Amino acid sequence: MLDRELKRGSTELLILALVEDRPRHGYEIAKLIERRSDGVLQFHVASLYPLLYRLEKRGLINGRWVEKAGQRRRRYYKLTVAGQKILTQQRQTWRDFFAALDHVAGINPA
Amino acid sequence: MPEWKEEIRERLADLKLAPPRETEIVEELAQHLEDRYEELLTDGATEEEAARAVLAELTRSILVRELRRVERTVPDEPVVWGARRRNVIADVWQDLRYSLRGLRKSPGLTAVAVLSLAVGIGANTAIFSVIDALMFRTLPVPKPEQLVQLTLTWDGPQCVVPPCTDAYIYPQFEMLRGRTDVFSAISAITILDRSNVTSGGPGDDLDPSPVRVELVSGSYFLTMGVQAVRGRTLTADDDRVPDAHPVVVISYAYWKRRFGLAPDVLGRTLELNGTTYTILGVTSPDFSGAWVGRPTDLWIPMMMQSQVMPERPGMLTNSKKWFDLLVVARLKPGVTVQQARAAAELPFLQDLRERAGTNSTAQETQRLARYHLRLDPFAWGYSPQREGFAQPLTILMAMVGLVLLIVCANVANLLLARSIVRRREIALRLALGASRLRIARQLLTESVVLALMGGVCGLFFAVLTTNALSPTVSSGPAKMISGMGRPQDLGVSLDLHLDSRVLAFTSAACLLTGILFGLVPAFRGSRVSLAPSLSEHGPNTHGAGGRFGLSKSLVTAQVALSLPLLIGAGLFFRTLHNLKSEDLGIDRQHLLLVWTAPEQTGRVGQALVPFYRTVQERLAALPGVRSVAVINGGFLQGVGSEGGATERVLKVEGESPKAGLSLNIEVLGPKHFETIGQPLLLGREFTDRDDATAPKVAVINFTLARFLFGTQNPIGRRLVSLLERDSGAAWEIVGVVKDANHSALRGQKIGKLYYAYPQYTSLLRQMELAVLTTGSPTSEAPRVRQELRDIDPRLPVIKIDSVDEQLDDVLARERFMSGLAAVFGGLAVLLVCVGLYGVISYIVARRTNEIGIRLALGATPAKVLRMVLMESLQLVFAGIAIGVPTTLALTRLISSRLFGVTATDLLTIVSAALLMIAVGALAAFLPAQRAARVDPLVALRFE
Repeated sequence: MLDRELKRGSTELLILALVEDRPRHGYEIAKLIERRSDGVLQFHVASLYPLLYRLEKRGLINGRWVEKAGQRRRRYYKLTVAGQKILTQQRQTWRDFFAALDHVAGINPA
Repeated sequence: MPEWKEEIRERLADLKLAPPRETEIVEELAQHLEDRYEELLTDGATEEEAARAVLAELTRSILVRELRRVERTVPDEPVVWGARRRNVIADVWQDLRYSLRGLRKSPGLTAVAVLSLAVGIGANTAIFSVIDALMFRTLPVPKPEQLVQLTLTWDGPQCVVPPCTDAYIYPQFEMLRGRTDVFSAISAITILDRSNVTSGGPGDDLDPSPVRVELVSGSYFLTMGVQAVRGRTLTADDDRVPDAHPVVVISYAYWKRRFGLAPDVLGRTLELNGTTYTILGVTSPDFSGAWVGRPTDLWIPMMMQSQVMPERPGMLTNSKKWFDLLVVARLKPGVTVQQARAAAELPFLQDLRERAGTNSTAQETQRLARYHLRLDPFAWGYSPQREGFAQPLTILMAMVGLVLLIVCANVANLLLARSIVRRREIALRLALGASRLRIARQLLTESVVLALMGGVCGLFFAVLTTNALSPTVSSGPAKMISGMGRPQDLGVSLDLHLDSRVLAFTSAACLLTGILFGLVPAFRGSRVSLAPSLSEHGPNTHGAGGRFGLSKSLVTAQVALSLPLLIGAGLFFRTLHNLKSEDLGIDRQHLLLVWTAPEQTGRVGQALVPFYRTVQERLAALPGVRSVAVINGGFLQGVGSEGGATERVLKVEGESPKAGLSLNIEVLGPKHFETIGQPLLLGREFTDRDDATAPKVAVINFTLARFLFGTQNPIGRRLVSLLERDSGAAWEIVGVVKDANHSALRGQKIGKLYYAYPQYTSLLRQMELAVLTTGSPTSEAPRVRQELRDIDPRLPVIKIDSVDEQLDDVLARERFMSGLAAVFGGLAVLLVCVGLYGVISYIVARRTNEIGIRLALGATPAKVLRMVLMESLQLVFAGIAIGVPTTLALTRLISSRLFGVTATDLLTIVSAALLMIAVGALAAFLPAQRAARVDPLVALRFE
């Protein structure tokens, strides 16, 4: 488990990145994070959704109720144009941050 | 599987989210939990383990904390019906906006509703503002609750000898003045009207109207706590030595009226009865003295009593004469009324007994023991008219209350019709999940909004109405007030303005009305059933009966409520008519009535006799005048001047006093009965020879003659006075006159005892003249006025009137009542007309299809017309059937104000009912005609 501060700083990036290629609902986002991090990163309902709502409020993602044939009505979040910009920026920031860490402490980013 | 939504909702409760937002979050989170739960089951967990794990992830503290950061504000979103109520203020705000939007959509209905509400609420506000000014408003002084009035009362069966009320011997007041332990200030007041006031020096600029003077002790303004806006008020130093303080404080209104608010008013002078007073100061504009409804113009130190009241000089030093005084004190802070009374009463009664002397009889001692000193709150000021106005105002308040109820029924009906039209909209909301309570509240909000709009317009209406009311309440019979007595029949001039109490009343009226007329449509509206309302055509063609039941009941109620108003108006109108056309027993066509106040010229008692004679002779010599009668007072004033129960006033010589008739004493001159046209039945009337030196003679009326002597001839019999002031003197009866009902209209039988004025000077104060003219009496008025001025320029002429004009003044209150009752009755009829028209029109429109079928099946248009007419008349008949018994119960309450007509007068009731039927037929005729003209084909297509 990562440190809380580090986690908080990175969660936004995680979510934005996950909805970059296509819209996803909350449960899917939580599962993807868990699976892709091999269980290191886990999001529970109590913290995931407030974060989604915050991102939505800031206009970075956009939620919409969608009904698909044979499935339940779900809320799908997709990246907005503003969200895309922030994602690009954050990727760069993290890249710089890890490069700096590597220089100083000899860590290769994952 | 646990109820995820409930779990989430329970955790979100603290956040107080807007209902739609909350619903959305609950749904989304619930889905997540469900997915997670199923995942855990798939992974091999038991149901219990899975549920526990899921709920553990829904950590309350994190969820609430994180959501609170994001969802801080309540967004202003449209109502999602059916969402759970979380935020009352937001809901009310939404209701309000929605109501306004709805009302804007139907401007016609809104206008009619607001207008009728304005009339109803406005009328209530207007009448309440009169009640407020007369009954509830305290004197505009600091801490009015500290003011008390000290009254000497007698707890015996009937007050025979003064003091009864408001009377003192002046030295008694001086004794009370010493009670500084309980009173912070105490003052004596007497209020009177004076006509001889000139401003700007002698002989110059006579004030044409009587000036109201308060003679006050020096501590008056200290007691009241009133300051001057110019100069200063009176102090104790202005009231020390009799006749030595010719100073005056004037009211703001008087400053405006007589001096045009001249800044140099201080130090200028006024002359009253020959004494010149220097103006010391002007009081603040809102203070108009101690007598509510009779604004004071001048305040003069009590020590000037003999100058101001030349007719009763030396009252301050006289320890025998009872003097009309209000004694008003301000309690020291912390002193209760009981403490003050205890402290003041004992020494006061002691003093009273000492005055009676040691040699008083046992009977006298017994009588003195029944005196008490009473302390009453004086926060509301002095106003004997309060009693006189209380009943008429209560009746009027009930009337306007009825009008408001009718308005409510009317508006309820309008809204009901509208709520039926809005059925589909409401059904849609119910389908979306709105609770019925929520819809009812929405509809109720609409009603209250309507009522508030009506209230605001009503305030304007109220201002107009009160302006119209003011002159009516202020008119009363001509009367010069010297001292206070019990002049209940006086008019009042009230400062009718909208104060906070009136506004509070109006707001309460609005709210109540809104709820009252909104309740029925609200419950009705929220009871819409879904399926038929949502179908294309709505429920309008199925089954005619019962659907309009509520509307019909409301119309019936309106008719029932209007009847008391109509019948009341009819009864008051007939009362007024009866009073006006009553046989007064005098010549109404040719009499000119003149009121003067010779006492103010300084002539008292015997000195008035030659003056009376001169006036009578000089006026009788005028061309156009046939003869002149002089009377001491009480002629056509609405009240008798002097008298009491016969057994206390007189007895037949040689017999014992006889009880059972009340008696009036009047003092007259020669040729009186001939002049006023009152027939002499036996003997003679007074002549010039009945002077002070001649044997004492009296004339009595028929009622008194019958009462005292039965069928015997009273001429030559002698009457012995039982009044203390007459010390057992006897009068010989020389004449009997027919009863005339001119001193107390609406009079029961009353005994009349007439004395010749030269033989009974103790009652000579005012002088009324009845001038019999050859032509129209009013055309002689200027000549009479001029002649009186030539006789004595100082003689105040208070009023000159024809008999009919004076009757109008005496009957001011009756005119006030019948006028307003007529207005309210008319309003009620108009409202019923509008209500009935609306309902019948509506019913006809909704039944077009049914009527079309009837016509197609062979009914004639005439038959349809009759059908619709009968249907509406049935409502009117039902209303009458309910209204008449109700009215009979109500009118009994006003029977004391009726004259010549009983409260159950058949003619009035039948007329009112017929009028109602005619109005009903009229209101229904147009819609009925429309129904008869229905084209069957069009009507069927209407489906």
